[in-house]
Amino acid sequence: MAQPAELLQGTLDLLILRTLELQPLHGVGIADRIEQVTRGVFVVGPGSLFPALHRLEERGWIKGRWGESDSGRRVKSYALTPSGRKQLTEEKRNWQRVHTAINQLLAEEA
Amino acid sequence: MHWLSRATIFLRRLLHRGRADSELKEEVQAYFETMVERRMGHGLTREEARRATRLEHGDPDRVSELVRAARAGAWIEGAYLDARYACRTLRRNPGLAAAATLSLGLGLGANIAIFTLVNTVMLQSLPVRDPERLVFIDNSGGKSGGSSGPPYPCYALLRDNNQYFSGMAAFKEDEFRVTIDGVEEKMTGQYASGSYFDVLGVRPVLGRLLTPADDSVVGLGGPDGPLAVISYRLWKGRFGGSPAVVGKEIRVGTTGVTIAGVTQPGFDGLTPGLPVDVTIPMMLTGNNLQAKRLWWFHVVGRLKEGAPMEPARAELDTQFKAYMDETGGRGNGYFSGIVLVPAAKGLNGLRRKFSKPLEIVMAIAGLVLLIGCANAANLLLARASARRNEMALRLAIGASRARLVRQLFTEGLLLTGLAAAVGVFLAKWGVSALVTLLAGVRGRIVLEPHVDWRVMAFTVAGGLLTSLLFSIAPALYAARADAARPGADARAGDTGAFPQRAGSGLVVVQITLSVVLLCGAALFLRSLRNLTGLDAGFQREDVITVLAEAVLPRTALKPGKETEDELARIGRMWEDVTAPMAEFAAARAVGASSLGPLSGRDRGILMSVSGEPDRPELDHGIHVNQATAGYFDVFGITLLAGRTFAPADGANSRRVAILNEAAAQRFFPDSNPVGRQVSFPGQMITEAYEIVGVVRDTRYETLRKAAEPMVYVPLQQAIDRLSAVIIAIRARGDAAGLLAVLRDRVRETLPGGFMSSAATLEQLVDESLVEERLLSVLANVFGGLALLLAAIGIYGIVSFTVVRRTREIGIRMAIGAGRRSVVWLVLRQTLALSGAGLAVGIPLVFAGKSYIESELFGIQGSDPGAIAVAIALLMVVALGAGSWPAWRASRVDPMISLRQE
Repeated sequence: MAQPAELLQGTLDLLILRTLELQPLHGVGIADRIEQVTRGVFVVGPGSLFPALHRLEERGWIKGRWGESDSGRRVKSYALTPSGRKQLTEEKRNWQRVHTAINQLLAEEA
Repeated sequence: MHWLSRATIFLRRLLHRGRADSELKEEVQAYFETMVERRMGHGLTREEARRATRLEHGDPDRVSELVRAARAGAWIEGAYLDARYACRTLRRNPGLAAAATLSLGLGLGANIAIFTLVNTVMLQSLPVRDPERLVFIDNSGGKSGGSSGPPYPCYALLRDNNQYFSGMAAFKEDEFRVTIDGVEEKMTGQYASGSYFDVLGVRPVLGRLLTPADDSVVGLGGPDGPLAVISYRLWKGRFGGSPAVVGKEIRVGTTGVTIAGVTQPGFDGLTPGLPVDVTIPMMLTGNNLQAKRLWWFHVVGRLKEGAPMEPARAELDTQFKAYMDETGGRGNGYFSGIVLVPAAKGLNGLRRKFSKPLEIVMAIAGLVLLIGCANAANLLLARASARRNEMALRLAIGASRARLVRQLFTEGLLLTGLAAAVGVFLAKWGVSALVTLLAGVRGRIVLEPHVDWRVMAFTVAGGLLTSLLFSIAPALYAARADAARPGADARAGDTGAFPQRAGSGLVVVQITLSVVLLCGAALFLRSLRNLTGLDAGFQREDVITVLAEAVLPRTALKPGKETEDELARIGRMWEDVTAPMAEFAAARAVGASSLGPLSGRDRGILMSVSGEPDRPELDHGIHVNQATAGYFDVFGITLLAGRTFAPADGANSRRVAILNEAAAQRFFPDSNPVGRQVSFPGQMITEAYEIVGVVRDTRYETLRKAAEPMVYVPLQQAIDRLSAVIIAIRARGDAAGLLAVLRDRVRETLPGGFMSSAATLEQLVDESLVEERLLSVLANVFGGLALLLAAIGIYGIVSFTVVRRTREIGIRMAIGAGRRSVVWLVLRQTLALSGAGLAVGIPLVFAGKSYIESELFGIQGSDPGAIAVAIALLMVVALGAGSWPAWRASRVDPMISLRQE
């Protein structure tokens, strides 16, 4: 497994929103999915995950609902709200811009 | 929408704190449980899995804490928790909370009360439109002291010929005898020009106010006849706020007037402390309006928007000087030019009188608050040392130091909040006590302080500053708590070195401030004593004075035989009223006079000595008192040369006068005045008066002010038309009975006779010492309070030391120290603290002496006697406070104290 990378400030929000774009998930599910999709580059611990979830919920981008997990445990799962969807588009575009800019910078150096 | 959804979430969370918290816990817990189960799936036992999960992800509670901190309004929530915790802590120590609240509450209350008064007297602007553009148009004459506007013809000239003023108004406050529904009463009223309300921008709440048209016909007012405007106060208080008051007929003196309207609430005229209830047009004053050299009213003007002061003044000044040259009034040193005085706060008489005393009292109250702060700090510090364990424990389980300090400040704020509530309550009571103290026996100064934004800002700022001040020491202490050693100070040893040192410092501060306050208290008390015990040149025992008034015809008087006869007739009329009073057994002496000591009445004229070349350097101004022979008997004024008045000094005999010493010295520095002739230029009596006697000086205006030159003339040879005189009776026994007889005589024998302002001379003396009493009473009350707080402080710190040193004392006693030496050991600390406080305090007293010296009478600001008294009092109290712990220390049982470990 690759060494987990440091998360860029603000990237976590993007990761969470993107993960929830496909389906509602609870805390463990989100952490698992991020780790899975990024092949272990990003490992999100509960100490960053839960504060981020609550912050996003406060902003109205995601909405938590109590339900049952596959194993029958009572868990709170989060779904993207319409304004969260808008925010995701915005963040994606931002990320693309940053990504392109940094790539260009790196290409020039090389 | 964002802020809305956030606000809803936040609100929901505040309202359902418990549920939100348990949900958060459950959510995090579920996460951890899942992780644990996963690990168990890999073959670990539950216990091992749990430990591994914790190692990787930390503690669930910690995660919840992080979430809470990330939430919106986390700080509010934190503050709420702090406050709740603080409440609990205070509830657990009700004694401490009460002591701290009381010491701070007293200090805050004193400050709020006095600031409310300062605000009313010094800071509040008149409730009129753009008060900062109002100016009084006064004459500048160094000698006259008080100031007033120009004579009426000059006022009219200035009013009609200027380019910088949008309006000018004249007004003259007076005591009116107002008859409402047949009942006559005295109230403060004023004559005002028709422009008055318009210039000030005062609006009616009912009816209409005076206009220039209402003030256009001498003796009548205007087309609607004589009108009056009444104050909101009078309307509510006397007419019950009835709208039917407009159009109602009342009488002012003998003139019937119709009430035209009621002024807006809060408007009391232009003299703070003297609320005006009835305003009638200037034209009703009669022939004063034509007098070219009579200075009798004030002028207020409104500068046009942006008009510069100096050119506005210069423009008026030029015309004023021309007027004075024309009427021959210039050059006597009294009326030399025009000055503009800002009028936003009204006439400054009250401010001038009370600014310094109030400033001093404010400083005293500030010191008391500081002492209260030191006390509260000491109490909290003592508790902080008891809470050291708690602090260390909280640090150890992850609270930050900042968080602990914040907690302590929250506690301080809560205490201050309680104290402020106590303070506001005390202040309310204090303000009414102060207002009563200032009003004196006859209610000369009427103040209606109200709480405005300044008072509220002062209270809040004072409270914040206070809580900051007294929370610093405990907070510093808490910040030093040692996380590594919770429970460390359960062992003796390093216990309490910091609170001990900080506490001692605070007690020294208390003693320092107390000694300053005590010195002040001693000085003001001595000063008041000096004034009350002063030989003012008159006897004050058993003397009653009243003001008797009559209504006289308002005909114009010109110098001549007719006028002489008229004045003599009036003088005789007053003598006829008073002389028979001497027949009563209870009356030892009876006198009538135009002026009386401390009566607040004054009359100044110019006097020249006949048969002598004019001395330009001589100040010809002199006070004149027109009196009966009995006057000198009633007040016990000693005759120094010649004779006093005799019954023979009547209307048709030779005119005679008596000088006081000051006048004799000024006008006749090298010769005997008796037998010389003097006259009073510009007055209605032009004949010369022969000086027949010289009497001792008496103080008139205040007890502080040395006697000024005064000339007495017999009542029957009066130079003024006296519509009012002061009747003074020296009574033995039934004074009230005498007054009742006199009241009937005045009412029955005089036209429009009316008697008022009855007071004993002792009451007048008391009333004239309002400032001094204010200072003395407050300095002593606060000095006592300071002493009490300092005593508590000393007791606290010394007891604390004794507890700390119990073991040491036990050892000392075990190896042979006597009880006496133990007592001395403890008292030595008290002495050291007091000594340190005195060492700082006494130089402060010397440094501050010039600040209060202007308020002292007959005593130096650094009077050794007063300082010695203050020191002695402080030492007695300090040793008293220290002796109880000292006694307890001497009872320490060595065995028990050593076994404590």
